[in-house]
Amino acid sequence: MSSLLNPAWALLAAVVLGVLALVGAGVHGMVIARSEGRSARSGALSPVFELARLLRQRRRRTVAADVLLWRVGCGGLVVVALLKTAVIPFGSWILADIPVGIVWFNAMDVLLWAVLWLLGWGANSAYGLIGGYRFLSQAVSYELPLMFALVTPAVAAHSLQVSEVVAAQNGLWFVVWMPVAFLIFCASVIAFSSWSPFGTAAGSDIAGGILSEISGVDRLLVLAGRYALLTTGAAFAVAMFLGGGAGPLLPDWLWTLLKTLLLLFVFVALRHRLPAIRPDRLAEVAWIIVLPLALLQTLFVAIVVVVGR
Amino acid sequence: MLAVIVFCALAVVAIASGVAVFRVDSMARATYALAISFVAVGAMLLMFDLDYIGVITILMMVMEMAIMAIYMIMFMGMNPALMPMSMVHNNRWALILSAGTFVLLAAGVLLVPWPAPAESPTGDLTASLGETIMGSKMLVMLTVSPILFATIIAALVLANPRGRYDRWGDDLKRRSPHDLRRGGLGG
Amino acid sequence: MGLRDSIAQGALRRVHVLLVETPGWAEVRMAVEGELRLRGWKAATSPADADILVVCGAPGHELASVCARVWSQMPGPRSRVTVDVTRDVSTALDSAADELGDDDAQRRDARARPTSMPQGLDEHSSVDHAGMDHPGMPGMDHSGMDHSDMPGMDHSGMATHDHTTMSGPSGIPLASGAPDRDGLEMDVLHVPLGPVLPHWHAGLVVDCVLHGDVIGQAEAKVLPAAGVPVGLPPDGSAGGEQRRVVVRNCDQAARVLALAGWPSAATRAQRIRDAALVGAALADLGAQLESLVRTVGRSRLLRWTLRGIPAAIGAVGSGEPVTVRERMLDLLREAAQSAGGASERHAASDVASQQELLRALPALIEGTDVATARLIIAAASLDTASLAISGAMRHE
Repeated sequence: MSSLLNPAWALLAAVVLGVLALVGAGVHGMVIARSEGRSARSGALSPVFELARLLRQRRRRTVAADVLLWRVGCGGLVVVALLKTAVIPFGSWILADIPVGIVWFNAMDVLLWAVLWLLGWGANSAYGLIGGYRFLSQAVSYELPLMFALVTPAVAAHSLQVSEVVAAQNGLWFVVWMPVAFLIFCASVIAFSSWSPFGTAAGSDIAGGILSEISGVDRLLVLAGRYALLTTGAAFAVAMFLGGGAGPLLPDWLWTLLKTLLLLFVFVALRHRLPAIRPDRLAEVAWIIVLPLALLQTLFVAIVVVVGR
Repeated sequence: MLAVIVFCALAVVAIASGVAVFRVDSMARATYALAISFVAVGAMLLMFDLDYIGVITILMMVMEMAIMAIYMIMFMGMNPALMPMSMVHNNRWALILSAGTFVLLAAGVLLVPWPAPAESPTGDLTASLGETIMGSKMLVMLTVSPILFATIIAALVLANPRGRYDRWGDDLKRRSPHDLRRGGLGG
Repeated sequence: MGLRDSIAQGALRRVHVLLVETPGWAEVRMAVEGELRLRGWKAATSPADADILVVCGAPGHELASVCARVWSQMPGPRSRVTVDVTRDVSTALDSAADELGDDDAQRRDARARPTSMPQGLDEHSSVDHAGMDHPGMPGMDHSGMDHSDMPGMDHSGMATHDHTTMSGPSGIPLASGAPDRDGLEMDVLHVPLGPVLPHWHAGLVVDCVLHGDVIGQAEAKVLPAAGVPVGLPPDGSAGGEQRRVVVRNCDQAARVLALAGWPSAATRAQRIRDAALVGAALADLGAQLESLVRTVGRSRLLRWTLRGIPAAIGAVGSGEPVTVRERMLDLLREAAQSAGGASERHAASDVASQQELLRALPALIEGTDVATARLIIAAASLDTASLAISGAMRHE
């Protein structure tokens, strides 16, 4: 796998990420339009209109806001998503194939703890702060299962390097023999993007929660950041569990793209179809059922690896 | 040369944000200034080619600070500008203690006869670092960590006013626990 | 100029509308919601999210000052419009959109706004501001309050009740402490829920003392309207009573579903409601309702996430406690039966029982978190219109 750590490629990666996120948003617009009784086509452009609207809208300030921390929260999501793309392989290319790519990805999604809480805190608004609290209590539930879900492919590949994990799936995709880890990872991606059904931090019951006080370009950054995070999550799941660019006929970069889009569409479609999972209900299930399941999955993989040697 | 400049810059960031912890006037800012300090230290570790330890430091510290911010604010005040509050207390003793600690550690750095590297480490740096630091004490470390963990659990159990008999009944035979606040499990 | 124009054109295809419903004007609000769906516009969740402020009906004094407050919090470009009767909805939205697209008017508006003061305040504290702007106003329950030490009352971001001795920057009073439900001493924050919140009863305000997101104490009231809506459909029209049950129940069920975070089911309930409003055949609606009841009833996730949340049934909680989920399913079933022609005459909810329900509400939500409280309040069949009208009459 070739490492391409130079500014031009990094810029291209950012552009690809942006386009994929926009496509995801377009699909979401279509789903919404369908459910509201309009043609799906009419909703496809709604993210573009939304973009125009937010570019035209003014920014706001609230009384006694902690503006510095608030703006850090607004811009942070996009930054985190971009930092994640550094270790995500696109076909046989990867920006920075560092030896601890998986840990890097994990460290970046922990940064979201800070970013989303700051977003809620900075505005000095009760609803925003409640949103921030909700995200953190959800994070405490999903983070450990997520870590073990990420450890599992690393154990199978004997490496924390993303390219090695992709190479280790030559023949058998990891999703086949570690489905639990795959599902936990996907759920965690939805959760750290604060996306429904794990989207109570921005729920309408608290007037949009972490979004309740932001407008204009700040809001644009946050919404775009959430789509970008969902997209990077899908792309990383492809590398970790779905064999990366492996596939017949088509070139590997196209396979990566197709698999990522497919997974992204599934995430987007789920948003509309499921009721919200409240953090207070999630905690017990995550710690008493999901975490042991994740550990068992890791144990199973570890035994297979040791025996298979 | 560039590496030296970057390293020094990170060191300055780490110290400056460390100072900021005591100079800012809000809990949130103090907490996240500390987080920045740790992130800078993590980045410096990365420059030693200790990828794993560097990234893990960043991961752990940001997570810890996020949780710490909640606790501090839960007990100390809810809205951000709620009243600028000083981040220093008991100045005289704090100064004496911190200066003493600094002198002790700095003296240690300068006076301890560090072993000269026999050969430059080969293979996995993280593994060889662990081997060097803990090689002979691995058994102690392995025993200490479960004990620490058990201590945390025990402290939680003791602090919790409601035990399992409150939840599951005197004979522990209730089908679903009796909780003040419902969780996700139980009928 | 071309780019600016095309951005404005694009923005006008996806306008976000903040709705303020005056008690009694539910039909107008529903008509606006239906129109938004038709146009592919969106209901805003907060003032920061809004381009157009639509006030449905004639708000009373307090609600009007809340509207003014919300208006001042909108980021701009912005426009506002008042809609009194259903048939005006479409033209009103058109004219508001025109104003929104008019760059010169928007620039004038922006220039006229005060720049020294940050525009955004907690929308949530707006009720108290309304009270502060008009000290001694009848109908506001602020007798025990003393705001005399608050510099520039407009700046207060947090509503307060009894701690008046200290105030922090920007005139924001210090949070005080109180034991929470577990007996720990925690900071408390006084936050009024409503009257401008998504999926909320019109005109309702619940003043809460919050520990984090847990409600310590609550007090509920309804802000009155300035008058009584005109043009309600005559009671005896074809299937009038049944239709009204379908509309009312679907509206309420849609609210609960939306608060449970299930947008597709909420939209389905809303579409059935709007079809009933414009006179679709009740038999068709019955079939759609049956199918919705099946979908909602089958969802294990919904059952799990709403488990054990009690519903306020009328004023008296008789018999087995009913959960919010069961209550919402009952509403949908009742709507389906009504659509099928069953016309059991419901005892018209009289003002006295409504007042009792309003009084019972705080006890139900104290000790719960905000999310649970919102579900409980949404599932309570609170007819704020009758309360507001009786309240308005009392004050005159």
